[in-house]
Amino acid sequence: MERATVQFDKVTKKIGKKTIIDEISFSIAPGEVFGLLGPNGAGKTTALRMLTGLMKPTKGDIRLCGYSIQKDFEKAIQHVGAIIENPDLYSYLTGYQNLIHFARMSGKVNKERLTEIIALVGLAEAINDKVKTYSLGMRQRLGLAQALLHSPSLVVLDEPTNGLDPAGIGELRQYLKKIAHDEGVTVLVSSHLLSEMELLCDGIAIIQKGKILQIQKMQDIVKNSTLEEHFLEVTDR
Amino acid sequence: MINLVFNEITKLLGKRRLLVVTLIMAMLMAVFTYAQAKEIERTRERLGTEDWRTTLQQQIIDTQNRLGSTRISDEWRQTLQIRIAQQQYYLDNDINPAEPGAPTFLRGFIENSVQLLLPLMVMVIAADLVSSEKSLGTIKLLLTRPVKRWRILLSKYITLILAVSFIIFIFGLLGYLISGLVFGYKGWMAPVISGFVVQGGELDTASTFIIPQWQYLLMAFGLAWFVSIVVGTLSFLLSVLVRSTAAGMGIMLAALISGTILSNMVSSWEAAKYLFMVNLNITSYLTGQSPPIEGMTLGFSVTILTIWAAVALFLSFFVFTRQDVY
Ligand SMILES: Nc1ncnc2c1ncn2[C@@H]1O[C@H](COP(=O)(O)OP(=O)(O)O)[C@@H](O)[C@H]1O
Ligand SMILES: [Mg+2]
Repeated sequence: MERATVQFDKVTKKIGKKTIIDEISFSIAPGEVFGLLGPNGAGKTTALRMLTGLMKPTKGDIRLCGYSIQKDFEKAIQHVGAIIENPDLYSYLTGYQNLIHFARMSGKVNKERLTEIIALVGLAEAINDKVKTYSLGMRQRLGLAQALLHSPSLVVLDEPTNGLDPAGIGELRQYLKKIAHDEGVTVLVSSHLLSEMELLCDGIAIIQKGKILQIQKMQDIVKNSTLEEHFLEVTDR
Repeated sequence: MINLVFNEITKLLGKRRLLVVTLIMAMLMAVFTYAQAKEIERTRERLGTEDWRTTLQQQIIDTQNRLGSTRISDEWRQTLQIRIAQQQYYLDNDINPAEPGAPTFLRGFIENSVQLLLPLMVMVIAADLVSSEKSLGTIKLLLTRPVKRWRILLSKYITLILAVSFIIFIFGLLGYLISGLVFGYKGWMAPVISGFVVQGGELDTASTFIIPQWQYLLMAFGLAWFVSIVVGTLSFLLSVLVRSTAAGMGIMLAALISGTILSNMVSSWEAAKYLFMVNLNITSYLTGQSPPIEGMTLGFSVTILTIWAAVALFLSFFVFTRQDVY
């Protein structure tokens, strides 16, 4: 089997005495669209914070493209584009200044790529406005542009559909599927919305109270029941 | 690294804080220039002369009269006596301590700004360099790029040093240009006496020397720059430690203000001399005022401030490279 793009190995996170993530393990293959599904407060964001090196696991190791995020931070993170929690950007700068800012940090991003990505997320007209004038949906798009800028091989999106209108959600879904299946980009999304995951993901992990309850390929689930039934069944136990 | 610093500068300018600081300073310069012009005019009317010797003589007599009053504290009495001795020394050497002109204004202004005004301006910049990224949430993007955390923090610290240098420079430039409108732009070469030593409440003039004013200003601005870097570094640490810029500024503000109060009343609490905020009035060693606590010298203050800054800088990096980001 190919080397997994993402590998969680018995990862635990405690804050104070509280165990927020409890020995979770899963891996994601290249080109897979993988969903972390769970109710609010399940620990999805915490897991993604550890994946991107923002937090240190209390125990366990996380590998990205084979590199440990803790020991080999730069190598592990360089192929990752992420939006964690909200698409927070510098509101006092223009959209373009924001993108330039992150392009400078990643190196290897040229003007053509910038123009391309701005067109892709449909912000060409507003790109020279201050971000504080943007709507939530526009910020979400700019956040996406920021995450895709350096052509990452792993895209991590935490609740990406918040603030997008149905058309935007549809577009995003098409785009994520396209880059995953055509370009081999691995996509990791988190969500509490079952219906969304059903349409988007190839595989999901159901997470609740810091524990992974089940990991499954979407086709296996969809075969027997709808995801919703399945989700309720699993979380009820 | 240059790219990172460039990013930080873009953000600093985007926040417009430097602009605000510049405007505040310009306004204060204008106000103080006006106040001083008024003061000079009043003295001239009162004494009916433009001769600085007469004016200085009169100032000495005025101060002596105040000394005659029984209701002044011993410390204040000492300060006044030292001032008289100094003025007398200027008079004896036939040197005008306040040669009219923008450079002289600048000298007085920097001496009075080094303890509070400049530190405040620097604090406004430094206190949110890191905490604003946290409260905005942008730190998540900043720290998920292939750049090690210490490099990101270093780029911010370099930006802070650049900003402090800019503030000091603008301070000098604005002060010169604005006050020059009223007092004229001459006086760089005017002689200034430095090297007064205050020992046991007495003014010691043995090691005094005369230098041209520009040289004196260079020293004063150098010391002001140093103090500003130290205050900036301490604010920087607070900015790493707390999430809210307002809280960081509040703590620093309290420290700075307590410093100005303590300087006037701690002569009997000796250990206070190890507090950074008691050591900020560093140009007073150039003018030769009695230090807040007996035995404090320029070397002592520089050492103490350096230690505080070094510890703060170390802690900033130590914490920033390890902390979990929420
Ligand atoms: N800084 C923190 N300190 C203590 N508990 C936290 C902290 N951040 C999150 N938690 C707790 O961790 C749990 C998981 O949070 P989170 O990862 O944000 O969940 P999700 O993203 O799945 O909604 C929640 O119960 C939350 O209260
Ligand atoms: Mg969350």
